[in-house]
Amino acid sequence: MKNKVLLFLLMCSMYSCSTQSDNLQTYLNGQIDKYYASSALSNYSYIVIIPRKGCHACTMEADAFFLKNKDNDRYLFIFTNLVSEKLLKIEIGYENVNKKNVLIDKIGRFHSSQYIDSEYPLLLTKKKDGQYQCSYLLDSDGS
Amino acid sequence: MGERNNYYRKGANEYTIELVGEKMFLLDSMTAQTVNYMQLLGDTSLAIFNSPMNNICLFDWTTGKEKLKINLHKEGPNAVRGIRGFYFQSKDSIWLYNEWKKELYLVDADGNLKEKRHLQDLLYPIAKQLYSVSPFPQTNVPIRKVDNKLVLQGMNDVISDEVFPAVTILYDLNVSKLDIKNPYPAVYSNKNKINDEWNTFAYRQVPYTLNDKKEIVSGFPASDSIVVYNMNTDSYTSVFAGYSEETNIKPYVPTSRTATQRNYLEQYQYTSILYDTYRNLYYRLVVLPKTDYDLNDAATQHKDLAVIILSKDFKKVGEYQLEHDQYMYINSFVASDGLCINVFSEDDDYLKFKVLKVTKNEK
Repeated sequence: MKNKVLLFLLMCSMYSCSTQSDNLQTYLNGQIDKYYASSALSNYSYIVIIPRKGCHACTMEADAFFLKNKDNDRYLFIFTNLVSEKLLKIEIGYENVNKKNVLIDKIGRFHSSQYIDSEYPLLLTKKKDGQYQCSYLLDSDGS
Repeated sequence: MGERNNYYRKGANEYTIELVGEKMFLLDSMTAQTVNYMQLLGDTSLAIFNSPMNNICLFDWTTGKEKLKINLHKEGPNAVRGIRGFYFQSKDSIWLYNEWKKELYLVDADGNLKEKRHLQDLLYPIAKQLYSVSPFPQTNVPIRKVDNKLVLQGMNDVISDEVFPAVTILYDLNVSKLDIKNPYPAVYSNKNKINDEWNTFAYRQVPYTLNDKKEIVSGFPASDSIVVYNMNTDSYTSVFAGYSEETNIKPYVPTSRTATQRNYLEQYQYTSILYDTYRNLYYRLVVLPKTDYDLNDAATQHKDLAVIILSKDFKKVGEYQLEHDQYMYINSFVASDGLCINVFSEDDDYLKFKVLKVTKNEK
């Protein structure tokens, strides 16, 4: 598992979160502004986006991060690009899908086929201007 | 390998296919319909691997109800994790394969670990091998046993200059040695760029079936032909088994994510090859190209499926395009009822199959 994550991080360093991900950052901020009134997000310093398809090892690592931080009210967790809602409930626990800081993105608002980075778990960090800075979740501290 | 003299794209129109019904299997709250590995056990049970729960669920084939769960251990001395596929040899002998570690495990019905085999010692370093192979079990790329050998198939592993990509491992359980068979055919051309040019699982992962003559019949997804490997004579035969239209499947070097998606959607792809022991026929599934799709709407991207029917001597004797549906075609197999193909169920509490019956056309 660690080897898979290290391989992923190596791939990230070679395809870093700068060029195409600037566009993804703009896209995600646009989706947040469009669909979620700022008052709904004011409590969250971080938004974690976890797609369910794509890099399986990455998803498992992201799920472990979720289970570790699910009770931290600074985090909003968005599960997107679903395989199925039932599978999500099995994987993260039925008891967790109804938490107030958990959002199931059934429509796929936080995933786009145009941006390869949206296939990986992402961390959005709120800036002073209210916009979010995008980075790979698994690049972060992980705590 | 030699070509048999039976190249004929249209084939004889001796058989057709009709939908005879559906089979539904009721799933509990901890089992989802997204399954990558299943095995039909005779005509009595369907065994599926429930990856999130690390268990194997057995369902009664007739009633569709769950009758047994085999719970694999996640921790402790009997722990087996990262399972990709299994082979139900008998009730108390179940082979499991860990694709990442290249390990085989033998467990009993209580999940007790009886044996562990390390294939990586035999496969690596790749630079010292003639062939590079990485088994990747799926329902249509099953783990099977022929005499004392396990058949494991998948795709190539890492490629280097002196190593050829291949897809099949024959692992001798008695002497713990393996042979690698089925190198990629000529359509895959540049072996050093096989990962670059055929970079999706759709074209490198190779389905196969076994017949009653100890022959491994493989359907390379980019090739109109199938390859028949005889385990007794250690010989290969390539036989035309292609779609009625020119398929022109080509390698592709992606320029972008969306370009890769478009290339996949707009090309043919051969998938499952299945031997029907009840009717002495072969079925080869082919995924058809799609042009009317929206890359931002997954529902518009479901490709259609056709079935090519071959006689026991590999002569093309029929072809039939199935009605549009969301086919999970890697989960396809033959039962006494007919050809069974997994389809998406709107009700997430059911695993659903279409059952198709092959009938001989009246002359």
